[in-house]
Amino acid sequence: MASPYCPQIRISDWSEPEPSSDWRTPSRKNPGPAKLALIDEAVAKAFMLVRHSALEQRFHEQAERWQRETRHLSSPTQKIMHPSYQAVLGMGTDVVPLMLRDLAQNRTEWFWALSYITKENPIKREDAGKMDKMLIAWVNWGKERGLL
Amino acid sequence: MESTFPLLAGKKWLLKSPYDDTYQCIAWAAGYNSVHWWPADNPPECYWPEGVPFDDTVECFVQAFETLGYRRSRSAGFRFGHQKVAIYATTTGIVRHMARQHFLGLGWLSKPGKLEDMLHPDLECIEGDPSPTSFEYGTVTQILERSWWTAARYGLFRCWWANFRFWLFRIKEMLGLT
Repeated sequence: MASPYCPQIRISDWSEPEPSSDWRTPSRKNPGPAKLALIDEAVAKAFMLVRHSALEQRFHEQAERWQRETRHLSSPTQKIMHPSYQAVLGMGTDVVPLMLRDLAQNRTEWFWALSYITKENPIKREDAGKMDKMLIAWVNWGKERGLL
Repeated sequence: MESTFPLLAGKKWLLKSPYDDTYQCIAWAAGYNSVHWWPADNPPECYWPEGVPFDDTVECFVQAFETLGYRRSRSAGFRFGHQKVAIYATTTGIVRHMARQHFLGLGWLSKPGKLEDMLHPDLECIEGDPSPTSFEYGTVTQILERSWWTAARYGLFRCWWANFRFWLFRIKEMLGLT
């Protein structure tokens, strides 16, 4: 039905427009493989930055919640079972540098989590329980591997 | 402190030392303030007396404190010439906290994790949900005691020195010398 917005046309009035010649001969040249590789690298870096900042934010949220809700506890077992600690463990190896930084700056005791993820333990048996020595052991471990 | 332990509200309790992460309740009950005590062996991240099994149970903690001259006791009341400690545990017998009785029976001393060490009037005011999945202290399960003479042999004066340092810190703070 015809309206002011939709004037009535007949089928014979309709015709397909002629394609422009531009699509046959591209007006711009392709970037080339070298430039494409640079573009890919830039995009990948941007994605990694976004992913890392999202991970860092999640880590700090969970770490702060864990500290706040377990600071009155003495049992390492009880502290490890907290949901926020488990969430940090689930973040995998990417979170190791963040844990080391938190350990160095805030004296947060990520000892068990670091041992579990890295499968290493730089703390000497005679230093077990001595907070300052345990922190120094892990900080030195991180520095040796370029993680701090 | 009262937000963490609601039963403290309305009771006379006071702080005895500043915030410190170098020791916790078990070490403080044992009279140490420079190391963490806990049966953690894999990996080792706390001190634990040699020869005592690495287990979170009340029985293992009793054995650990027997190395300091403590023996099982039936009563939490003050007994002149004796020092007592209390073990808090869950319904499944897993230890959560320990408190040490004041030398003159004026209350109980607790070092809740990293928080300040405090003197509270009774054992019940820091009790909490005893279920194994809770993040509270549970209930008092066992009392241990030793004589003052035994306490002196095992470093009683270490606790007094820690208290003296705290009061020195408070005086310096008041005088603006810190």
